[in-house]
Amino acid sequence: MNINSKNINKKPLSKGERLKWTPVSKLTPIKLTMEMFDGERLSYEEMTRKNKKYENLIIN
Amino acid sequence: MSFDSKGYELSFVTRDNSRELSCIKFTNIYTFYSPVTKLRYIVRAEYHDEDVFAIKFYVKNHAESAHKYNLVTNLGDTRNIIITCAKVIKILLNDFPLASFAFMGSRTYQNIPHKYQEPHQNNQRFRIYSQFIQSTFGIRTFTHFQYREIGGYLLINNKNEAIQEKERSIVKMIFKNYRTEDVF
Repeated sequence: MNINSKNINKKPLSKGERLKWTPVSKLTPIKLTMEMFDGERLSYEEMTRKNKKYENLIIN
Repeated sequence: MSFDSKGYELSFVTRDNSRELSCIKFTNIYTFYSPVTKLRYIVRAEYHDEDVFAIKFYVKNHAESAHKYNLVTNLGDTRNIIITCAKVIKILLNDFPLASFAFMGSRTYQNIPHKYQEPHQNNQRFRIYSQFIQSTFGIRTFTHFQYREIGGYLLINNKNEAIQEKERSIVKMIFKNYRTEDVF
């Protein structure tokens, strides 16, 4: 099937529609760097606040 | 989204001792069925160096796809599926009481058109997993770390004497063995 043939009669996208797409550079495979592994340690206070919302903890 | 569902019954299938990467010692494979989506799911618990399991799951029908961790079915039942996968942690802690657990929110890929739909950073799966883990896993057993840049989440077992050092050891091990995003 020639996919391009489906688009022959389609109207070109407007600038606004094109801008909704995620930039291609963000969609391509990335090479991991150590900087990407700078994690955020969740604090005791923040976790306690979040756990209180739900009664069914799988593991405490 | 609340996560107060019960999930489904998880069945152990086999232990795979073949090592896809040198850092993986073995993989426990589980399965479950969703009566809502009418699909069978495979859950993989890959045991790595540094006493850490990476928990991954996919639709059994997608097993042969290179993007099996990235595809979406749009059939719902997210709560039960995620909760069922998380039950593996409780099972594994019985035999590996010092184990830590790692998760990766894979970015969404659609077969038509053939491309990823979102970047790694703070992707949809990561946001859902992050919310889920923080609401269903407390702070007594694990210390929580999240990595928005790569969509990753780490539960470090509090039985480790030096939590921060353990976290860095696991991160270095992952970085050493997973150099590109292709393996996620």
